[in-house]
Amino acid sequence: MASGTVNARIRPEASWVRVYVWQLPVRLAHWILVGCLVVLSFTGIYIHNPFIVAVSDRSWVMGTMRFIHVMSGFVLISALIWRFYWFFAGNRWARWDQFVPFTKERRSAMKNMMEYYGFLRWWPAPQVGHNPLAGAAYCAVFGLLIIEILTGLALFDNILGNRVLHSFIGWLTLLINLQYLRMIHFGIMFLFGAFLIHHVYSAILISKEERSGLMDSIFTGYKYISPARLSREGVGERVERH
Amino acid sequence: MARVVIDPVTRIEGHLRIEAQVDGGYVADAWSSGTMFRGIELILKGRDPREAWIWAQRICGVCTTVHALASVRSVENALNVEVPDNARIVRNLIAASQNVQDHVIHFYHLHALDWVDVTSALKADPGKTSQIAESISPWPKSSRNYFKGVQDKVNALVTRQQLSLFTSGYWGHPAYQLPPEVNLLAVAHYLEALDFQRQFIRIHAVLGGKNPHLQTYLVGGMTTTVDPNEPEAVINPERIGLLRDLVTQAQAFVEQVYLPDVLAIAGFYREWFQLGAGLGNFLGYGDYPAGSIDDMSRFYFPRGIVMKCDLSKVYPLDPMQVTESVAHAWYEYSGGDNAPKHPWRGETNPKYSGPKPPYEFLDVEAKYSWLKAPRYDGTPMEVGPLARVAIAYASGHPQVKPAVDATLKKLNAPPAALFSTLGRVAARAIESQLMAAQMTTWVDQLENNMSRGNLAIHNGDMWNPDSWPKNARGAGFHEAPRGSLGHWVEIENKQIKNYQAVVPTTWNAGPRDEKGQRGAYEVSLLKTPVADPERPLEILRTVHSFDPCMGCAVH
Amino acid sequence: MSDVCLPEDKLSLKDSLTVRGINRRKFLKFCSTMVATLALPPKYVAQVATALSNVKRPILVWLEFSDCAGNSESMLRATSPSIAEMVLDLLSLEYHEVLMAGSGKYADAVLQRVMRENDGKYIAVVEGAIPLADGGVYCTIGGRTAIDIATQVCKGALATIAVGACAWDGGIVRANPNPTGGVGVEEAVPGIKVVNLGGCPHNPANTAAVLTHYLTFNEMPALDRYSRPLFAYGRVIHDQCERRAHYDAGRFVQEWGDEGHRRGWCLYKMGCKGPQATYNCPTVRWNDATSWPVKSGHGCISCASPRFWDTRSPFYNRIPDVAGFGVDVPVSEIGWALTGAVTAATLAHGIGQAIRTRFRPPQEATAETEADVSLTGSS
Ligand code: HEM
Ligand code: HEM
Ligand code: NFV
Ligand code: SF4
Ligand code: SF4
Ligand code: F3S
Ligand SMILES: [Mg+2]
Repeated sequence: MASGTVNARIRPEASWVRVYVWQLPVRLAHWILVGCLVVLSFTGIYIHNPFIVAVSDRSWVMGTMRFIHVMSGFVLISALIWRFYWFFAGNRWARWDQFVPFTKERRSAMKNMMEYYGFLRWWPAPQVGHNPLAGAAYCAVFGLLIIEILTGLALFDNILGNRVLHSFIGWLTLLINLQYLRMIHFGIMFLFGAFLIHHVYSAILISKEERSGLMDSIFTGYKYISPARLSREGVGERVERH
Repeated sequence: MARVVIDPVTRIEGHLRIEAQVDGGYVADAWSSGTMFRGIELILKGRDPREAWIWAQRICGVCTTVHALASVRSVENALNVEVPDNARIVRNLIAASQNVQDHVIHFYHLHALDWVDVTSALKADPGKTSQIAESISPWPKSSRNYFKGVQDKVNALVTRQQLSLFTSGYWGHPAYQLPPEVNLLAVAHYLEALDFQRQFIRIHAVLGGKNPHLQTYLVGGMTTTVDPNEPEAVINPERIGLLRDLVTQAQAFVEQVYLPDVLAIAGFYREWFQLGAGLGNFLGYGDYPAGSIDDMSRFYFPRGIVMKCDLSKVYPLDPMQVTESVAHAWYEYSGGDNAPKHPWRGETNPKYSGPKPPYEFLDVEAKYSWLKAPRYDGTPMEVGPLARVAIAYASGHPQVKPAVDATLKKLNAPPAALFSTLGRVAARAIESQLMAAQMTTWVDQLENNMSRGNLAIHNGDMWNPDSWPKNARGAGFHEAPRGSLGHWVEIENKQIKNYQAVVPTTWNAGPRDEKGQRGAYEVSLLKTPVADPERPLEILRTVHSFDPCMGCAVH
Repeated sequence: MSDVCLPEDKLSLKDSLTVRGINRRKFLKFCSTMVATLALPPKYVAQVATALSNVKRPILVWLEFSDCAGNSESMLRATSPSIAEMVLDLLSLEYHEVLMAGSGKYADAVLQRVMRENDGKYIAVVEGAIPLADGGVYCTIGGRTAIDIATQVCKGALATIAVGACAWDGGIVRANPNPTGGVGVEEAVPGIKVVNLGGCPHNPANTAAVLTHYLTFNEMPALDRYSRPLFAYGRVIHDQCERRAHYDAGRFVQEWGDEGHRRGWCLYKMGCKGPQATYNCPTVRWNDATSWPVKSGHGCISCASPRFWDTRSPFYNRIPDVAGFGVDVPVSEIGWALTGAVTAATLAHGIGQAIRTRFRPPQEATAETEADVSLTGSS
């Protein structure tokens, strides 16, 4: 057990252990995702309603916006694929089963979290990895990202007319009319926005409540966990400790 | 006694069925039925009123553009928007060219074969045809060789036994009276008119982007930007030049081909100035504003009503007196089918009650048409070129009156001759001539505005739906090629709540009303001679003289 | 016609021909004839006509159902070949209600004769939707329903060409709420061979090209997944548009009639559906290549796209409204409202949280225990 690692700002109990929860790939994927979403939303809003009207003969505003949009779209796709790979290759908190409340335990912890948010319970139950409610929310986000990517690719197919891309995604326009795909693509952007607001709020909130250093963890990878909790989650010896 | 059924009536737009009772060689009674319903008034509900014209225009692709105009006017009326002068002029030009185009196609391609026996043209001496052509018109295409070429073309069809469009005419019918030479002349001009119409309509491509179904209207104006210094402006000095060329072509064709042909053919069918008179009651909303759309005193065609063929008096017209009856039409009205409705309270609830197809005869005692029966103050009216010309003539119109008098003089006929089957044909030709001439004035006005720096083409005051009242309603009127067109729109919460179109062919081809009064077709067919009930050519002549458009009529 | 050989279209047509085993020389010959056509239309037509004069010309019957005749009118505006050349020299148009000489029984007799004598050999052109509701009573001709006639005529045809949106997929007739149960011919008469030429109306240049292709090669051109000829429907309008440079640069018309509008800037913000539309309007144009909607200052409404009336409207908005909110509401409104609501809820929760931190029991007493409870699943 490591000592002297207690972060004064976070002020966890002195006995708590610093655990390497978020491996680098998880953190990288997370921040690439965040970056892409910001860029994609900004350029997407411009594509939807070009609020800058150029007058100069040499400008290339829409062209640039679309270029950036599509390019960051592909970065996002790559980051997500990478993250999905890590669903299977990563540590136990990166795994896919963290996002779906399969076990009775996770379901009741999820209920617990809901009650906490609903002011029916004084304190949240600390977790080593994602709490199951957050996990479910991320699962939804991953799902929305997939839809956003598919619709984005279908829109791109319409522009590009490339045979490979078309055989990959062309079926979608047969299923759902291009215009509705565009509408869905545009509409989901707002869901990400709404998620972000709540997500950042709850990250700060839970970080404070758990005193686990949750906020820092998405940068550093480390969380502070009570030894009792660790052993109760039955992961005591198998985790990387510092 | 024979029941004659003509279904489909061809060389018209859409699906018209005529049933006639023929007694002793004459039509004793007639019923006019439209056999297609699409429900565009219903499809318009809930849509953005600013785009209503795009939808409404699809009521008809023959008189394309006219429903767009009436529709856009109805929404402008509801929202109280005045369009800039340039938009008014562009709209006049579009409408007038539609008028000329539609009339030329009607005469040559939809109506002529009722008067012209194509097969007889084979017997013509092209040299004589050339002489006739040169005696009636300075039109350059008149050589013997030219007519010989046309004759050879027709001959080729006959030898190959593939008459194409000319298959199945009532060729050799005793009612055909033109000498072979005139038939050949007409066939030649049939083909020339095919070329003319597609060239002249480039004017719609310039001002409307395409034809059919123009795409440059806006609630509040047009998209046809005007700018003397911009090569990309839709109207610039170069385009004005093109407009001028096209208008000049149209004037030449109408004056040197269309009008002389009408006079020449009419000369051989003088008895048709006595037949097909019809109702004798004429209605016209008036159109072609010189200023504001509300300033009806400056319309080119005046608004008004002529009753009982009396050209000495024009009555004022009040659109609130327009109603539609469904007593004999396949619809239901909430207040009972015998209570006609003004379009403000108009309903379109289709309810077919006719015979189960396939059928042989309609039950004409009951409901028998998809057309409603429009009435003015309870009275059936005829609308169309003849109505416009009659109303303008009776009002002493400075251009219409002399033009009509000149034509009547050439025909050696009194004004009363206008009220007939051939009268309609003549009125159409006179109108085309006047419209083609008038277009020059409008091109001049447009150029003048442009050079004076008046570039406004759209009034955007009410473009944003947030600026609209919660409820609004408006009516838009237009004198379409086939007559008086009205669209009534009701807007609630930025959407179309109700939409009603009362269309020229609905007026003319409508069925009987709750009082049993016949519509214009039905009346004008009475007493028509029918030499051979198997080949009712004469019935077609009178029906075609109205230029039926059933897509319009039912919508 | 000439259009087939416009630079952009050459490839797709060439491809389609090689795929179908038509040799290159024949193609090039066809093409050079076409290019020559551009300069001298009558000569080309005469040539084709001569080639065909030994054989009987193919018979065409043109059926109209729930339509506006806009596609017939459009055909009348064809330029090279013109309608006169087409119906008198190239084909035998034996049945077409708008133009044919005979009426009533005489007209019907022609149709019956064509079907009897040329079974499997004539081409059927269909214009207009086919209403199926209530036994088809919304469109009858000669007392027979549209579906009855269409089934008989199209089943006996060599191929059916659906001209215009209505005949392709029901068009405006089928637009919500589709009062008459209208559908396109492909859906109404399953199992027939159809070439769809969408558009409202169809561009006659393409139809002429399809017919010429058929006359020259004895088969229809290469088709896409909607059975539309690739040469006409394979490319996005936006990619061929003369205003495209303005789009990429970010120069947009802001208000109708503004300076940008007069200077030919991009109509994207005015609702142009060019980016969602495929058709060859910008290259072929309309009415003897005089103009096309965007050139005349109005946005494209994507009239050749599937179910365009419902999917591309409202025409002045970039994307459709969301139905099911009482009245249709734009996505952006819903989106911003949702974002606002979440922000408000978050703020409210934050305030609630601040209040409860003041008087709740210490964490030690609750949180871990509760977590224990929850982990053992006994709560
Ligand atoms: C995940 C976050 C994303 C967001 C928030 C987003 C947002 C948007 C928005 C708002 C639009 C404008 C829609 C309109 O009004 O027409 C748009 C268009 C588009 N997006 Fe995305 N997008 C995302 C991801 C992607 C991805 C992954 C791709 C795939 C390459 C993509 C490709 C496109 C394309 C091709 C367009 C159409 C551009 C055009 O029409 O010129 N987007 N996006
Ligand atoms: C639109 C932007 C964002 C999205 C879509 C997003 C999405 C996600 C997702 C999917 C996860 C799960 C990580 C994984 O297992 O891969 C996550 C975790 C996390 N994110 Fe974000 N994130 C966003 C922005 C942010 C921001 C701006 C912050 C911090 C200021 C943040 C802080 C965190 C933290 C602390 C976690 C771990 C929390 C936990 O497990 O409960 N995120 N985020
Ligand atoms: N009737 C009629 Fe029209 C005209 N002219 C419409 O308003 O033809 Ni289609
Ligand atoms: S597709 Fe358009 S032009 Fe053709 S019939 Fe239908 S509404 Fe008319
Ligand atoms: S006007 Fe329409 S088609 Fe042309 S570039 Fe702009 S958005 Fe594209
Ligand atoms: S509306 Fe139709 S005509 Fe062409 S420009 Fe658009 S596809
Ligand atoms: Mg009506």
